[in-house]
Amino acid sequence: MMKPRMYIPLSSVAVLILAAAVFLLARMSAQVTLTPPEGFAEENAGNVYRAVSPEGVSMRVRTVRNYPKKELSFWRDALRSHLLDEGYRILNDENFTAGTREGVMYEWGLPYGQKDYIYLTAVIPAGRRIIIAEAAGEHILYGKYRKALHESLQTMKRRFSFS
Amino acid sequence: MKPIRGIVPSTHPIFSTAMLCMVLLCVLSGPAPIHGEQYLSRSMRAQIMVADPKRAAENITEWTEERGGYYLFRSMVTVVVRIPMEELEELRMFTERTAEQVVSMDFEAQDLRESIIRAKSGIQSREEILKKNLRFLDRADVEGTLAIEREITRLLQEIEQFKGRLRKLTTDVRFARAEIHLSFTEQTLPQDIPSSFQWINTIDFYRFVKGRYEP
Repeated sequence: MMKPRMYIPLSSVAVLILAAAVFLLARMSAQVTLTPPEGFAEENAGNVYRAVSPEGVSMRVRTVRNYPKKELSFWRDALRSHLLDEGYRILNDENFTAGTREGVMYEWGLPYGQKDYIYLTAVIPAGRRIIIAEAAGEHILYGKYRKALHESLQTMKRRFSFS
Repeated sequence: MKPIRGIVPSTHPIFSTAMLCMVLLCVLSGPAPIHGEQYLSRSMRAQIMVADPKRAAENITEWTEERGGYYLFRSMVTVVVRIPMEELEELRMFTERTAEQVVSMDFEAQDLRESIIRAKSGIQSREEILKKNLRFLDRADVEGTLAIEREITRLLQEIEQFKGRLRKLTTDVRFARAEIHLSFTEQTLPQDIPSSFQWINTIDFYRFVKGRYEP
């Protein structure tokens, strides 16, 4: 008597493949690659990129969901008006290009302890995500690394990886 | 010996009149002329960032004094100076050289012509009335003299007030006012206002420098 062969229905295979794909997509996260600012030590912890200078000027880059999905001009105005409303003092704002993407960068002046600090915020909408970069330091130290920070911003790219 | 009957000088109308005439001479010498018939008052307000605010404050006040100005207020983070009007542009350049970064620099000008003319005409009209009152003094009796004296005193007070105002306006025209803030540390701290967009709520300088990350 012939042993009956085990057939796996095609639909089950499809379900398995789909489940695997969903699992992989869930594990996949949007990360950012960039050249660190000159003189900074970098740390890539999960989805957040951090870099810090020997004197403590720090930088952080991350991505967030572009929701509601909007373009640069919208987020530029939203961020600017919000921080101005909160009482941040704007020192500088400029557009920049990182690869093929356009971004905007603001520098804000704030008191911290007995010192003046500069806080940089940069935003690049990248499809369904928004790349956000922040950096801050005491204003003299910030001035020392300002060029390096700006150059680093221009190297930011979004990439996908499995975490 | 028969004692001499004293007259209290300050209450005698003739003595009072002589005193008033002396004061009047001073008053009629007129207010100081306005510098080159300039009527514009200028001011500068700057917010700059410097490496050493205390030292920068000292440098600015020293520089101002060398240029014929003076300072009204100086602290670790703010300097308020008066500088001859023609030096204002130089002060702007000096401030820019002093600063690591100029955050803001605003200039204002105010035409004081109307205020100056009002003060001058106030003095002039009261001086004319004063002259007339002095002419009446010769013909007045004691009671009338006292009344005129009261009137003259009032006029002199008003003239002095106008002269003080005119002096202030003259100073405003001759000296520009500059207020220079050397730090943000006196600024009000930003408030945490919620945004409609979730990710914008995560942008916060103080959380960032303290290393607190909220995704």
